[in-house]
Amino acid sequence: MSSAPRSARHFVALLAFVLGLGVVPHRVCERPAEAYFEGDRAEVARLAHGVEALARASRERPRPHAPASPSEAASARYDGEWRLVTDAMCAMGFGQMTPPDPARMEPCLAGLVEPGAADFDRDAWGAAPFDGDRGHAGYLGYAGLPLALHRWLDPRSRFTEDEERFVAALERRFVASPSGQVESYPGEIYPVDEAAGLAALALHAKATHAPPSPGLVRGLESLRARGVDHATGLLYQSVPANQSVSGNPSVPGAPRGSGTALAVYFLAYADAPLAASLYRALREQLFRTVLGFGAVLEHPSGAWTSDVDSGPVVFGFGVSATGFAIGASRAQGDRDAFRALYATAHLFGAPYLAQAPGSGERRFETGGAIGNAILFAMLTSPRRPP
Amino acid sequence: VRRPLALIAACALVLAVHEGALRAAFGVPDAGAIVLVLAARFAAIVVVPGATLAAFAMIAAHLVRRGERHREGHREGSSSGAGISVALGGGPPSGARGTK
Repeated sequence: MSSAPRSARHFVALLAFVLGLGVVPHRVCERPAEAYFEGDRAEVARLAHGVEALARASRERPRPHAPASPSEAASARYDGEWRLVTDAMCAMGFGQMTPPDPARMEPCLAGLVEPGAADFDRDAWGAAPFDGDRGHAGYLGYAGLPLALHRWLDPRSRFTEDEERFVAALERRFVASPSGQVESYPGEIYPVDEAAGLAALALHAKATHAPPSPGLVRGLESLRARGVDHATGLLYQSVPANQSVSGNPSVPGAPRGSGTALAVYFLAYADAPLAASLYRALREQLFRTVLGFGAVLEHPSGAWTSDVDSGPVVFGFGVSATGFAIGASRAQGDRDAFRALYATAHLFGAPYLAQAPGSGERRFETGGAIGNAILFAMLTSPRRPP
Repeated sequence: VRRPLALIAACALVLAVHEGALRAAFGVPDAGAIVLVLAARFAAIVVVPGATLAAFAMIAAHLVRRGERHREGHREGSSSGAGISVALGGGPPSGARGTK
């Protein structure tokens, strides 16, 4: 055969390959997205079964012993944070399902308030999270939010006493702070952790039919003024604590995708206009599609640097930022972004439906307990929060 | 045609490996299993559709080319040789046929 027809054949094959690459993969991966966006009960029930089993296994794992070295302390902190986030997100997912299932939230809530749950926070502060009127925003916020959601769903919640304790501690801190900002760890302020605490205060007010508390109002004002980068409209990942302690101006950390996306999810419960404005900034500056797959840049500069908050960063796209943006896009009713972002989670998360009593059990195989719990909360993020 | 058929068979194999890896890795929190699942998944979802389309495109191009050659062959067969010569009266002289 002559070389001309052969090269024409190769060209046709290449064209077909590129066509297949551009058209098929993202369509395959985004197929289940519609069911999650619309809150399909059967699909969410399968995911709930999977998350429930993983969260139970995570709770049954023994907690690490008291850290003896700085590296052990860091490892114990991450372990404690991951357990906290796993139980918190699992509880949020059950509370956000249609219809909500407060009874299935309870094992997760029990995990959040059990004595060992705050060890990582106590080790960092050298004090219990309810002592005094400063700090502990991370533990109090992430545990307080699902407790408040449970109370809102079930006014006779058996966790009412715990919820009151968490909410009172948060309220005290937002009121007492000179800048209205509350540290998560000594010297470290994370606006996204504050957003979780403010969402807890907002839900508590709704659950108790009370007006927004002074702490909530002050915390939101401070978050708008000091937590948001006014150049980009994105949320700072961290803010130096001396702003909070002394009120002195100082240089905040850079705004980032993971913190902004998660804050949009939390703030949908507390401050809809702020959540919408953060989402607009995220959508315009950090959201991209590659071959139809949606992803969110961790840094506005597109830098590849990663840390424990961002998770792996690949070509500038953050795993955490992309996962949290699923919840943000659903809460903001952005179907196109939700579909594209879900396609990415579907590709890299590898969901698998195993046979189990009932409708089956779906797990994202690469996510582990924490990844599945986060996706559960994000995929059920309320489109019209209370 | 052998090469595209082999490509289609390889794609089918990748899909089977992907399904098997997903089933095997279910509930196994092991980094090796996760890497295998991701590799198989990337191949199955991202590469296989394009590769399958490319294989079919190559087969289609081959069939089209074969059809063209077949038609060309027919055309050449009817416009040469004795038939034309007889029709035009231009055949070899009878003396050259060795029938004298």
